[in-house]
Amino acid sequence: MPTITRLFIKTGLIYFLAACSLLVFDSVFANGNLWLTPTWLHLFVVGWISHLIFGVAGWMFPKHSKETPRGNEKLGYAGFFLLNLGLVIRAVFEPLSGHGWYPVALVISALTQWLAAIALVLWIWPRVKGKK
Amino acid sequence: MAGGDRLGALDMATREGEKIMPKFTAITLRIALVQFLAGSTLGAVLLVHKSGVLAIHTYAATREAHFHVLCFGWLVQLCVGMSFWILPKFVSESKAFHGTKTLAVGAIIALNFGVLSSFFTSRLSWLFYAVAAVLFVFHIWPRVKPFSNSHKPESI
Repeated sequence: MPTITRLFIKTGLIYFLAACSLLVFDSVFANGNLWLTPTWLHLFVVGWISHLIFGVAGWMFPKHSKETPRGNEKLGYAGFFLLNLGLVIRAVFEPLSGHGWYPVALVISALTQWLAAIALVLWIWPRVKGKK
Repeated sequence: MAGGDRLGALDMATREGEKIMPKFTAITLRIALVQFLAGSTLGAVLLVHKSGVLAIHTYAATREAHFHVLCFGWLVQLCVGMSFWILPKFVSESKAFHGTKTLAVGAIIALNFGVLSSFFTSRLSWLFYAVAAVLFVFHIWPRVKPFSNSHKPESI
């Protein structure tokens, strides 16, 4: 399994654990008011599922070329870095709506996750190759 | 693993990537990737709205569209496209078949109409998704079977 795939999948597994833990915490201690729902939901969908999809796609999709079989991996790593930066900022600040950094943090999180999506699509797009 | 890592496993996955995916899968995945970008853009707008920096007047509708585009336009579409490619095929002497392709094409069309209609009314979306689900299950059901000896999967 390529390094970039291992990085994506292992990071995804950590988010999976974090999302499950937060869900348990939310269910047990929030007393019916699931105020952490957006946070654990996005840790699960963006942190776990998206990492898994792009990690496996980077591994299994048809190679880009003999010289660069996995395409422009810098885009993959950039997407990985931005996605994690945005997601961690969101996970930390989203529950802290009264915090002074809350507005700025959420805007930075939105921007970095959006840029990550662009980078990841640009990385994978050339490897989506169908028969003529 | 480190030394052989560069090509080691890509090869396990796609025989050094020489195999390419069916045209249907490529089209489906490209539509899914476009919807991933669209859904992420909607998500970013929602998060900025939540920050209070910028208010949007269509918050509920945008959140609904964000859910439909990412859940059905991205994730479900990805599953349909990938299953068409990697599940066992029907093998004749000369070539392999993906089953009744019309059903798979119908499922993708219904799925995308469902996502599009989510911008107007989610009830119609669910109807389209139900049609897509039925078509997809009828397409894929016979392909959930053991691999035949004469036909190795393209991706494993």
